[in-house]
Order: sequence, then C-alpha cells, then structure tokens
Amino acid sequence: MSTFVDEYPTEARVIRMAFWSSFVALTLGAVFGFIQALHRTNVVRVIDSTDYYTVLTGHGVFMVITFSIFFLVGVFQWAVTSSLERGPVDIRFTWSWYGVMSLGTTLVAIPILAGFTDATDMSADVLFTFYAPLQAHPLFYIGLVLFVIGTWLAGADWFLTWWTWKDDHPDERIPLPTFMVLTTMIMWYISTIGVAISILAFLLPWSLGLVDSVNPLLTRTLFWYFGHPVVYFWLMPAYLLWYNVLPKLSGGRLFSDPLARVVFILFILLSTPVGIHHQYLDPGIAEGFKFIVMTNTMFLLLPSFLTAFTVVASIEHGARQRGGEGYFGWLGALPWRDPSFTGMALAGLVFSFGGFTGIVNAGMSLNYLVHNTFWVPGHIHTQVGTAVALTFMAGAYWLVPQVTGNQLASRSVGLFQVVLWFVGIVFMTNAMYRGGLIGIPRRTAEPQYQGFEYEPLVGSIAELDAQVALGGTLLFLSAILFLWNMLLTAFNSGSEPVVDGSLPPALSGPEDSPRILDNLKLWTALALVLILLAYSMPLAGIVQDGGLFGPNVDAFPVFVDAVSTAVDATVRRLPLESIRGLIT
Amino acid sequence: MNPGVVKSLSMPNSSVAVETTRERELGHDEFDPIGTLALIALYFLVLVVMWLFTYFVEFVGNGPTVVGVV
Repeated sequence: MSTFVDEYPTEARVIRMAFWSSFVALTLGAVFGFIQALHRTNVVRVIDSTDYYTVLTGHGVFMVITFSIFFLVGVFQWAVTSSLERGPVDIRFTWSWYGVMSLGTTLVAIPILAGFTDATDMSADVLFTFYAPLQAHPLFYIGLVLFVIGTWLAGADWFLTWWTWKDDHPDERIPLPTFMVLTTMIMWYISTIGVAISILAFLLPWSLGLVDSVNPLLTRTLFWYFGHPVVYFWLMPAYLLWYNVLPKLSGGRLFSDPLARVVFILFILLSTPVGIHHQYLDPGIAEGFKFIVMTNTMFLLLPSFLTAFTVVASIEHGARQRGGEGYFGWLGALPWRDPSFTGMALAGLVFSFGGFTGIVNAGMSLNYLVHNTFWVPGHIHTQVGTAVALTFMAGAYWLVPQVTGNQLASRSVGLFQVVLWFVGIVFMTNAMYRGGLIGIPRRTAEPQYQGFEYEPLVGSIAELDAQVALGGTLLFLSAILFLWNMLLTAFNSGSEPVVDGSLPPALSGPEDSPRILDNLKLWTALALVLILLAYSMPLAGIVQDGGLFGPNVDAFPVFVDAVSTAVDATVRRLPLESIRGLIT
Repeated sequence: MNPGVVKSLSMPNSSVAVETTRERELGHDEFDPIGTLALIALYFLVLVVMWLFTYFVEFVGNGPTVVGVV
C-alpha cells in the first residue's frame, strides 16, 4: 500500500512543479492585493497612485491566470492519473506543456513588473482584461498566447491518455474525475478561440505596429467570449474537489455520479454563449442580443444549483454516517477540525452567497446599478478569491502530502488559516458589495472625491474603508500562513503523509445514467450551435459598424510619465487666470 | 467487476491510522437527504429576503434607471 507519489513518482513530480509555480504566483498576487487594499482605502500608501494599475494588473494576472491555472493543471494531472490508473502516454510531452506554460507566464510577468521602473519604456498596465485602446508591450501578449498554448497541450495530453485507456477498457464508463477534466478542457478549447483571435489577429499585430488601429468593441467582445468561460475554468477544479474529495472528507460518498456528469455537460453547453452579459453597458451591441444572453445566463444557474444540492447531500451523507441527526444537527457531526474539509465547506458557503450577487450581475436592469462599481470585485473575491482559492488551499492540505510523500507541516495552522481567510473575506467583500451599491467605483487608486459625498444606507465610508483594509490584511496574513505551511511541508521529508488518498464510490454510480452523457462529441457539437446562435449576429453587427480594425483608435500605452509631462507643459504655458476660467 | 463501481483513486496508506469515526453504513436507499432540503429551504428564504432588500436599494426613492426623462 502506498500513496500517490510512490505509485506515480514521475507524474507526482510534474504535479509538484505545477503547484510550486502556482504558489509563487500566489505570493506575488497576495503582496499586490495587500498593497491595493491599503492604498485604495488610504490607510497606507507605499506606492505612487500612478503605479496602482501596475499593481492591479499584477494582482489580477498572477492570481487568476498563473495561480489558478497552474493549480488547475496540477489537480487535473492528479485526477486523470489516479482515476485512469495510468500515467501519460509520454511524460516528455507532459513536461513540454509545463515548460511552455512556465515560459509564457514568465514572458507575461516581465512587462508587468517592468511597469514599476523608469529604466525601460516597457509596460503592461492593461489590467487582467487588457481592453484596447490600453496597449501592452508585445511580450505580454506573446506570453499570454504561449501560456494558453501550454494549457491546450496539457488538454491534448489528457485526451491522449484517455484514448489510450479506452483501448484497454472498451466498455467502461469514463471515470468521473477524468470525465470532469475532459469536459472542462472541451469548454476551454471552445472558449479560448475567442481570446486567441483577439490577440493573434488584432492586439499583438497592433502592439507590434503592424496595424494602426483595432476595433475596441470587437476585441472586448472576443475577450468576454473567453472571459466568462474562464471563470468556470477556475471553478471546475474546485468542483472536481467538491464532488470527489469533499464527500470522502465528510465521511460519506458522492450522492450522485450522473448528476455530477450533467452539471459538467451543462457547463460545456452554457458557459460560452453568455459572455456578452459582461457588456450590458457597452454601446454597439443591440439590447435584444443582450436579452438572449441574459436568458442563457439564468439557465447557467442550473448547474450551480444542482451542485449545491449534490455536494451538500453528499456531505450530509457523511455526517449521518458519523452519527449526525436532525434537520440541522447533522452539521455538528462533520469533521470541522480537518482544514481540508473546513476550508472547502467555508468556500462553498461563500460561493452560495456570491451566487446571489452573481444573479444581480446577470440581470440586465440590476446590472446597471452595480456595473463597474466596487460590487464587482466584491463578487470576484467571493467567487474566484474564495470559492476557488480557498478550495485550492484546502485541497492542497490534502493533495500536497500525497504528491510529496511528506506529512503536512501543521494541521492546526492549516485550520486557523482557512478560518482566517473566511473571516478576512467576509470583512472585505461585504464592504466592497455595500460600497458598490452606493456607487464607489472599482479600479480606482483614490476613490475619494471633493465636494461629493457617498451616502451609505448603513454605516459610513470610514467604516467601509476600515473593513476593506482589515479584511485585506487578514487575507494577506492567511495567504502567508498557507505558503509558509506549504514550504515547511515541502521540506518535511522523512515523515509519513497522514492522508488516506482513496475515494469511495458514489451512492448512485454511472450505471444509473444513460451512456449518452459520455458522448463528448455530441455535447461539443451542441455547444458550438448555441455559440453560433448567441454570437454570430452581434459579432457581424460589431464588424459592420466599426470595421475589423476600427475607426482609427489611437493606442494608449500607459506611459504615465509621458502623459503627465505633456500635461505639465501645457499647464505651465497657460496663464493662471485662464485655468481658473476653465475650472469655474 | 461491476462496471459501475468507481475504483478508488489511489491506494490508501496502511501504515497510518486514518481517523475513522463512522458509526453506521448508509446505502443509497437508507439515506434521505432531509438536512439538505432544510438547508436549501433556508438558502431560498435568504434569497427571497435579499431580493426584497434589493428592491428597496434599487427602486424605492430612485427614478427609473434605464429610461429617464430627457
């Protein structure tokens, strides 16, 4: 009997490297997040406000691209290897996609970090969404492309592994973890087409100077074609852990394997033809198309509700097996001292609250209320910042011992860390949501205005700021505790990993579901039809109105110095009186 | 082997005593997720209350947001 690392040492090495890469990104992202939380609220300002967007870009890209996706490939490699009980067809191919992803992420990091120094003109202060006419250094786009290609190769690796497995197991159903990996990757292939076209056909040639202009609405729309499914890409490894690992940690079994399959199929079908719901306020897309997208989005609530039911029922099964009784009394029978369980359960709790705020975002009329306000980062931080990130950290407490062969350095620190994250996120996001409702903007270094007062229904601006700063500080401390625990675990050699890596079968297994659920070609084809319906007319309209390369939009690389120097020079030339005239 | 039985994902390590607090084994037919129903009903109630609250935040005391008077 042995753990994962004894059984699959080479695969475990790839997974470890993916996890370490992801934790390095988490370190950078956490530092940047901490700086922002204190800067925005005017508690401590260690950077110049002009550098705020460099920090914000770094926080966004390192957290949601590098940290999340490197962790994802680690989890997926573990899931495929352990559920198919075999390694990749060629481990060199596996290393090659890890290499391409690492190269890509390094190339992306260079121009972002160069934004802090005046020694070079290089910068990429374009935020995670890189909307034109904000323009980044070409390296940023090249890096992103390489990173995405790396993930495509990873997907190909898992498909190859599955095809080879299928030859040996012709009549067997796809094991659930592998099914989840394959369906997620299909969604990823379909959705990354949008961002690939946006970068390769428009933004990269434009930043290289090969074309003079782009159509900002077109590149935005292509970004959001990818930008909504990418949130599910972050979320699916968390779902994979909730469906497969959480029931086991609770002491029970997955309630229904078929329901889990249906959920992942719904994500293939519905996660892409909804992207325009991020653009409700964009002029140039007809309201009717936005309405169709809103309808699709509301359908997308379905898999999340199915998940809430299935996962909670599985946890309850565990609690009942542990002797839990009553309508709510069973909650007390759960293993709350286990950091992996508690972290995932708290992540799920925050996710269910964030789901409500997502319904607000998704409704066209309510979206106008919260669009581009502090509410939106509140939503992001409950969803990817907690449902995903906290699940990953909790999952790491269970997985890292299995892929290193080392015992977790400290379970009690782990437990404290996940609870601290929960407390921090409750402080920070409730203030973000409430701030958004009274109109505080997002993505602003100094959201304080003269001659204007926000009017909170309850509390005060000072109280909201204090909560954001306090919450941000707790989250930062929590991240540091997690990283420290991981570092100690990595060097905790010679110990035994006190983790039982076996997963029990579902109460209702795949034999209870029709085989058509495993027909991946069918679901892919249906997804493409839905995308064609949702996107062909809006895209045609955008190109017809603004042209493929737009109405001569000037690039705006965020060279603050150049801009402010120009402004200073202009101001100096103007007599003081005329400026007064301009202002009053 | 029954094709429906999901194989364990990886081998458990025997040398370590794994915390087992299972008091009984509940199969598919003995398990009735009544607690899940209770929690979901509670969640639904919270949703309804929050939607009512949203109505006050969004509409009461404010003019129409989308089609304003020019």
